[in-house]
Amino acid sequence: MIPIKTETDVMPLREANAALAALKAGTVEGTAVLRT
Amino acid sequence: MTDGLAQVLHSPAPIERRPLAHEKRHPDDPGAGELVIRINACAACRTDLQICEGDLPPHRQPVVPGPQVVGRVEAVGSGVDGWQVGDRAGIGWLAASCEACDYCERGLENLCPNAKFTGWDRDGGYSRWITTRADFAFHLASELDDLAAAPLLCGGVIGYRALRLSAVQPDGTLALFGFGSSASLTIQVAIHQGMDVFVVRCSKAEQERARRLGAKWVGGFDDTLPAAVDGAITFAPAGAVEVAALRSRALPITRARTRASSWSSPP
Repeated sequence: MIPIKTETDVMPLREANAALAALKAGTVEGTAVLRT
Repeated sequence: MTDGLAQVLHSPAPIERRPLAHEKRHPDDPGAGELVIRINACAACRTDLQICEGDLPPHRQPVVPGPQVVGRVEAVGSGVDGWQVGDRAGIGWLAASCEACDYCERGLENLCPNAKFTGWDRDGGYSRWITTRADFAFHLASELDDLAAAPLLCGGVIGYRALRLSAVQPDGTLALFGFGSSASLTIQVAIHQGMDVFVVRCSKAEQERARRLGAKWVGGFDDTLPAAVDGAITFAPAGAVEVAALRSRALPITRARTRASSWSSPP
């Protein structure tokens, strides 16, 4: 088992457009994750 | 199963124009060989952005993006073995393949010319529900919670694949060009395996993150790597990162048997 640590920026599903805009702008720390 | 909300792409547009619409969707009943999954988390990746903006034209419209999905099985279709209602499941980019071509017969389904992809050919995880082929779903280890596991299902998979293809040995040195979600996972695997990792990236924030995750050296595209490397991974199929990697001073000083691999982009 490899101890991977994921860094996530959690947002609600309805903020999907904003999450992708942040990804485009390079302002996401780690990975944007949508909580449904 | 009750209705749930989904983010639906009807027509690609710049993301600033908010092309995803928040809509109510009713879950499908599972067909033969399929699962219906109640989604808890879906990681967003650059491929989603490319589909929403039309850089990768959607294979069908409307479509729900999202190829990094974690949830619980809510319904099991006929003929499915190994899955029960309540099981934790993960879904990645590859949603189906023909199972008949040379690539499929060699276990290289990701290269199947008739492959189908989550969030491109089939609705993905920007939703409460998803229907998926059971034989393309993953059982997930319990050590990671849903939010932490989701990024592994695309960024983790492609990074691990690229690392394997780089053929760098545990005592070797690896260069990473670009440092987004996938690279931030790949570096952890590489260091765990005993490699020294150099990271080439312009963004100061990403350089700092690379240092924090254990990079032996961090620099920009105009910098010279401090030593020869045994392999390199570029985290883009095309565009600025790829061009900069090829132009960089790094590659001419790699060792004779260096391999360069790139993460798998859609066909």
